[in-house]
Amino acid sequence: MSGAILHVKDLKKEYADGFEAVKGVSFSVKQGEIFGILGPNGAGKTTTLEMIEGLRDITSGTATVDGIDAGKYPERVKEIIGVQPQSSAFLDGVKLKELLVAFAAMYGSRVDTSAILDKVELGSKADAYPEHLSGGQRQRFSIAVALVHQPKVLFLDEPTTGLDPQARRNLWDLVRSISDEGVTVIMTTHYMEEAQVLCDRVAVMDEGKIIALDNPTALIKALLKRGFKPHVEVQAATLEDVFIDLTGKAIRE
Amino acid sequence: MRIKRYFFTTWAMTVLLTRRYMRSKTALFFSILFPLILLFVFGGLFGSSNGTTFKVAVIDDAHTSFSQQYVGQISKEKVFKVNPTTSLSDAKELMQKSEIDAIIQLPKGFGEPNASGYPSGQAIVLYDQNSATAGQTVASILGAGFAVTNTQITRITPPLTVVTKSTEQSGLTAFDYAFTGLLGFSLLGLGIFGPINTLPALKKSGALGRLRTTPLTSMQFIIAYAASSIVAGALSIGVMFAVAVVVFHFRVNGNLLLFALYALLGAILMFGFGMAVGGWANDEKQAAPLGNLVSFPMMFLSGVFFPRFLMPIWLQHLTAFIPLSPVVDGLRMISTQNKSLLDLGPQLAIMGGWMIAIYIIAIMIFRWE
Repeated sequence: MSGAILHVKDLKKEYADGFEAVKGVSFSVKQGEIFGILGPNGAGKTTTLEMIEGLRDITSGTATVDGIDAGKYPERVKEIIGVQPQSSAFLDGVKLKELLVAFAAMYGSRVDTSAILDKVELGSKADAYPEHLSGGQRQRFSIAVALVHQPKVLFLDEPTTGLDPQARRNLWDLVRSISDEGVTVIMTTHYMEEAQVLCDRVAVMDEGKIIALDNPTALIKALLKRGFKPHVEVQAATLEDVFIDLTGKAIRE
Repeated sequence: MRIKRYFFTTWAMTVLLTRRYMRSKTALFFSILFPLILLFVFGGLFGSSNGTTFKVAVIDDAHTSFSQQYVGQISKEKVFKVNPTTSLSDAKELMQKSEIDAIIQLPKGFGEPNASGYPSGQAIVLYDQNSATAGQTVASILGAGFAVTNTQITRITPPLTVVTKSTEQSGLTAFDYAFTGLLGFSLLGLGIFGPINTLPALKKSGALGRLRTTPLTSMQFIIAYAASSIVAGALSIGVMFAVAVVVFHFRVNGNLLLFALYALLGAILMFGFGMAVGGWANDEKQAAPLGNLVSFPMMFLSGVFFPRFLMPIWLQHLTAFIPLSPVVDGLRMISTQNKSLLDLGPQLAIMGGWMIAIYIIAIMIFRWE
C-alpha cells in the first residue's frame, strides 16, 4: 500500500506454554489515518500492539513502522512512536511538569511543558501530582506523555475505558486534533460507537485473527448486504444522546 | 553524542527519582528518623558507659567522723554511682531488682581507733548472685583504696605493689565500636529494604511498565535509581554521623574523607543486592522472603550487632566473605585503627568482587512488569 507508515505481515505470537495469542495477522496503516482494532477481551489486540511497539518478542512474521523492523530494532521503533498503555500509571510524588521533562529526556529531547499541558487541557495542573487526577485527566495526561517527543505514530490501548460520556467525548476531540496534526493513530477499543465516529478504518479481531477490515461504513453496508435485519427498531436517538442532552457536553472533573 | 544523550536521560531520571524520594514521608522516616532512633537506643546503651561504673548503695552504720569522711570520698569516685538510699533493707530490695550492683556497709565501730591508735575497721561489700563479678570488683577497688590509706596512716611503704595502666591511648569507647556496626546496619536497610519495598509496588501499578515504552534501558534505570538512593543514603549517613559526633562524642581516628568514601562504597554495594531482588520480584510475595534470605546472614554474621572475632576461627574465615563483613570491618579499621586504603586491600577486593557480580546479576534479571 502506498503511503503506508505501518506494515504488519503474518504476525504471530506463541507463548512458551504453547498458547497462540496472535495467529497471523496482516494489515497496513496509512500515514495520518486513525486506525481502530476492535475485538472482545482476549482477542489478541494488546499483544498485537505490543509486538508492533517493540515491547514483546515476535514469534514469526514482521511488523515495520516507518521502515523500521520492530522485531529486529525495537529500540529504534520506540524512538518514533508514542504509547499509551491500557493501564496508565506514573510515579507518585512527582509533579506533572516534572514527569513530562523526564519523559522527554528519555528520548534525549526537551519539552515545553506548558504548551503540551495546554494542548490536553491540563494547563492549570502543571504542579499537580498524577495520583490526584480524575480518570479523564489521567488519560489526557497519559496522551500528553506519549506526545513529548513528537512521535510519528501514536498507539492508544483502550483510551476511554472507565470514563464517563463527557470525558469520553472530550478525549475523542483530543484524538481528532492530534490526527489533524498529521500523527497516525492506532487504537483499540471496546466501544463500537467510538470506533464508528473516530476511526477511518477498523480491523475486527477475534481469537488471534483479523476477521474483517474496512472503513466502518463499508463494514455496515456489507453486513446489510448479507441480509442483516436489526433486532430492534432503529432509534432516532440513543440513551447516551439523552444523557448528554440533559447533562451537557462540558467535561466534569 | 550518544554518550551525551545516555547521561542526559540518566540524569533526568535520577532527578525525578530523587524528588520523589524527598517528598515521600515514609521513605524519609526509614532513611533518616529510623536510623536516628536506633542510634539513640544504641548510644544510650553504650554511650553512657564511658569507662565502667558501678551502682552502689553506701550504708553508714558507724556514724564516726572517719566513716562520714569515707562516704564522702566514695561519692566523689568516678567509678561509683552512689544511690541515695541509707536503709539496708531498701538497698537489698534495689539490688534484687538489679538497680544497684553492690552495697557497701560500714558497720558499727568502723573508723574508731584501734590499740595502736590508728583508725580501723572492716567495710563489708554485699552482692547477690547476679552481680558477683561487680561485687568482687567493688571489693577490690575498696581494698586498693584502703591500701593507699593504710600507707598514709602507718607511713610504711609496702614493698610490693601493682599499678594499672590503660593501653588504649586513643581512648576508644564502646560507642565508637558500636557505631560502625550501626552504620553497616543502616546501609543494609537503605540498600536492600528500599528497593524491595518500592520496585514491586511500582511494577504492580504499571508505572515501571510505562517507562519501558520509551527508549530508557534497564541499565539507565538501575543507575538512576541507585544514584537517587545514594543521595538519600548520604543524607542519612550524614545525619547519623553528625549526631554521633555531637551527642555521643564519636571519634574517627582515621581519615574522615576516607571513612565517608568507604561508607559510600558500602552503600553502592548494598544497593546492588536490593536492586537485584526488587528488580527481579514481580510482587511483595516474591520480594519479602528473598529479601530476608539475602539480608539475614548479613545482619547476623557480618559483625553488625556483635563482633566477628567472638566467632570460632573457621566461622570467622567463612563470614569474612559475606558482603557486609568487609564494609563493617573496613569502617571499623578506618575509624578506630587509622588504617589507609592500602591496608584495606583484602576488604576492597571482596567488596569489588561482589559489586561486579551483583550488578551484572541485577541488570540481567531486571523485569519492568
